[in-house]
Amino acid sequence: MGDTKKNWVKAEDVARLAGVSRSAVSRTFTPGASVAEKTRARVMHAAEQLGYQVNIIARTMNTGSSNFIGIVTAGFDNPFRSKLLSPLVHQLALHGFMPLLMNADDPDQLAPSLKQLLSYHVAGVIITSGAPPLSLAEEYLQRKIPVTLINRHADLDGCDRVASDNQQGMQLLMDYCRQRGWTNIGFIGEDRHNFSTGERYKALLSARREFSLSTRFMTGGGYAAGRAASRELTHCQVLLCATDMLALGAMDGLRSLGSTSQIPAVTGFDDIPQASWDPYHLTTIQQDTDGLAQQAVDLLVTRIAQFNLPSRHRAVPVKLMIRKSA
Amino acid sequence: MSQGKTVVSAEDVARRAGVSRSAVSRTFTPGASVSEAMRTRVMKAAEELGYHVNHLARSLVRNRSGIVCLIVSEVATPYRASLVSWMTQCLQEAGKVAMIINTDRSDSSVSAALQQAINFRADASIILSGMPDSGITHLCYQHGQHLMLINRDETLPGSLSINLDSTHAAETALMAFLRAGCRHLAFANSLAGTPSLMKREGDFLAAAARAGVAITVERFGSTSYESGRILAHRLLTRQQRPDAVFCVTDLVACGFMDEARHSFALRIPEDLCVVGYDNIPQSGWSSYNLTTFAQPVEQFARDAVRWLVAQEQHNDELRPRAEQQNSRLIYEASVIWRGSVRSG
Repeated sequence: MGDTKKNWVKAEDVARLAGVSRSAVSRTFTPGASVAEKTRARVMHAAEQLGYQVNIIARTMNTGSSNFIGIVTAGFDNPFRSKLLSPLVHQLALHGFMPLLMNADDPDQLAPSLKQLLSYHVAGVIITSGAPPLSLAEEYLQRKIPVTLINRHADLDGCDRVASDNQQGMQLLMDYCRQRGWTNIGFIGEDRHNFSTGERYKALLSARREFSLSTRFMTGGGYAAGRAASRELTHCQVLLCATDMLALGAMDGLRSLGSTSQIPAVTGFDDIPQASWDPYHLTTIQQDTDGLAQQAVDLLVTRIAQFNLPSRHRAVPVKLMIRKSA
Repeated sequence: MSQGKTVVSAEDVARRAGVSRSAVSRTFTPGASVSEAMRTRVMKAAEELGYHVNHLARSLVRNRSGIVCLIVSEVATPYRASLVSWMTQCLQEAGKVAMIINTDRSDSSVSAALQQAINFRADASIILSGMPDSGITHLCYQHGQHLMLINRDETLPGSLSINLDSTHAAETALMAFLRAGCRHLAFANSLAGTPSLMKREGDFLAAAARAGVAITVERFGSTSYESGRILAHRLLTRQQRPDAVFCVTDLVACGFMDEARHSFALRIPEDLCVVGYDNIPQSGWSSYNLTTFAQPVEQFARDAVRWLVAQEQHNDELRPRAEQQNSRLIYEASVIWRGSVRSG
């Protein structure tokens, strides 16, 4: 890159000044590699004098394996997704991996961006909910790049996935409804094909003989969708919402009707920070974002070590948070 | 890696297309000259073989990896999340990729993050929180790594500073309060002490001083919803209870409003007018309906990436470094009128 190129000191330069081999320099800067204390001191001294900076990318090229992990995500306006990012980055760092973040909000940009990840020789890819097509996961798997899915489903050979235990979460909510004597239930979900919405709805359907069920599927989900759907479900005793964002919108929607008669109780799913804010005090199912991140990275790391494993699935337990909204 | 991946090389593409190795290289180098017919042949062969430019190899030759580090803390707060979201999207559009480095907001952890950025030969680092020490920023400069500072006061050699002008926002908020007939004005700030937050406070005090109005200032804790509640408690238990408050961020304002309603049974805007800053999604929810100031986050991101691309072209043209200017972009926050201030 023009005039800045000369500023980069090479490992060879350090070796020459220190009077040691090129490999001694390399070993000095590789954690855990063996090198005599005296050699290390000479190398460090020379490196210091020359202003040498380790080039991790060069190391990647030499060993053939990079420590980049792609994280493909979308819909950061949902606080649950941004809440998951921090523990993911943290867990990857603990294993010495660096996260390259791919934003899949713009569908036109997605294919070139995911191809771009390939060019960094990523050691693995994590695909979260919200982020679209799984055909791209197939492309990675074909190249023997491990793929872990969080809160979504795919029947792909060699693809691992981790998800919150939706079945357990809905059981907890239905038990709570039984306890409160609620039989007339409204369900507000995102798109019918959305994995989490689908699983949560399916769990509810398993008890449909017990409950009278009204459902609304709102493409895209979110606060405004919850708001709109709630107004059509005022006859229910409780609205079980597939996400907290839908639930918070539903609560504000019900309130805006200004009705003096009984309005439905509302529950959510996720436990985003806003769920415990004053106007809501939302009764919800808490997803364990630290647990999801830890399991996802563990699955990825073990598959990086050995690609040929059968597909694995792990469910992360959830917790019922009872607050005032229900 | 040991699994024996089949990587298609540029030579394979050249052979298939029946062109030279250099023609393939030029086809995949932005701005390089290659005839249209040649480009088409190369692209077709590349597509058929599943060839991808090897950014890593390219970075070894040119010391430019296409990686841009986003150095950030508290990424889950709504404002940060939208900034990260727009930054990653704009970087992708420019053919670059964001590497996220979490920091704990301490200046030393930001310095450590920058050292990593150098080791990865990142093209640039975008610092969203904290301020690195000058030793490491000088090292970045020496190695041609561009720095972009968001909402920091400092300027660094060869870096871009993106700042928000809060003087107009201060005047607008002050006028709105006075027009609503408010007499006891307050500013609720955190103890984070970052330049942009302190400037919001300073600009509001200055605008008030020009108008001959006194302001009560209260500061507490981190810049969070919870701090907003405590700030409300502190300000609203004063002998002279404020009837208008400018909160340093929307997150603080939401906590402030909830505490004012819940513990003091105040009606907003009838008993208390509130203005926030940032225009996070929650400020538009009907439980808050908060009047606030929007930062042009998408514009920040677009301009920052455009600046970076221009700097790189500049370097490629081998101009002397002295021509590299410190750049500073200043944006004005725009008011979003909602229902948390009485109309005058």
